[in-house]
Amino acid sequence: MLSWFAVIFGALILGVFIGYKKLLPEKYLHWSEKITFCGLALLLWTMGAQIGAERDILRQLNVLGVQAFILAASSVLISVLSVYQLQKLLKPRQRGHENIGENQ
Amino acid sequence: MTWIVIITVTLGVVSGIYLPYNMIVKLEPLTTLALGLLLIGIGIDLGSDKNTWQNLKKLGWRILYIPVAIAIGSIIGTSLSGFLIGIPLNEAAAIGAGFGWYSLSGVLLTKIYHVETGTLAFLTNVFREIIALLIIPIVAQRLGFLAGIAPGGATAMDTTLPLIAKSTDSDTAAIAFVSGLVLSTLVPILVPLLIQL
Repeated sequence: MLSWFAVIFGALILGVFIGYKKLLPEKYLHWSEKITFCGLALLLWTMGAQIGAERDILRQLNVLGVQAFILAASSVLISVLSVYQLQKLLKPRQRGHENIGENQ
Repeated sequence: MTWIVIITVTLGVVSGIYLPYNMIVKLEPLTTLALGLLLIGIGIDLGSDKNTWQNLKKLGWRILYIPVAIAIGSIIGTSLSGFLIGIPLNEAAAIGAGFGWYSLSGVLLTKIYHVETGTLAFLTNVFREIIALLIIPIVAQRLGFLAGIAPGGATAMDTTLPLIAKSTDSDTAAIAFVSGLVLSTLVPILVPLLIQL
């Protein structure tokens, strides 16, 4: 599993480096977009195929759907509350948000 | 894009039902290559956003508190509810770290962990985007503009940005974009890290 992380992190860093240093000529940039898109499409398709092949998952899709909704709602709720609290901490005096970016 | 993703996954499900399983297994090396290329492409996208990263300096590092709060809140949220409905901590935390980026979190977890967890991550983060689109205007109005950035998570830089801009003001929209970019960068780092817990 750790090797997976190395692969993922390595590929990401490589990409960021290429992007930040503009190592890829402008005209190849849309090729990179196409390759990224095809890679994603292939991965999404195989994910779907694995779901289709494992009948258990298909049968449990409604259970997974309910679980997914609960997980989604709770992540939204707690993240909204976190930022709400942060908002109050950051500017106790003001109601607006204009000051958030200023270095005081 | 959303429709392409949904159609591709659906086509996959149909082929998974009708095609022999060993055909799908044969694609394994190809999907590893695809994941590598996908991540390089995502990296290029994130890296070329030089203006935004430089903007971060102008806006002040303090705005990083926002994506960090959203990240921590999202992960704690799924971990807590995951505990209540019996989902292991590593899975629930990794799913929460998708931050609404359903395509990436879904395929990542399917590839490096298990297809069932990948499916759950995909669905959870699809729901997150839908919930975000429904509640952003209300949250922004009732709880403050900055709180309105939170529901969208990583999507605050693309799919939910127009709604955030409409529901708040231009300063908040700029902060939302930076927050979305930071969270998007964290997805491919935190998902594989948290699944190892």
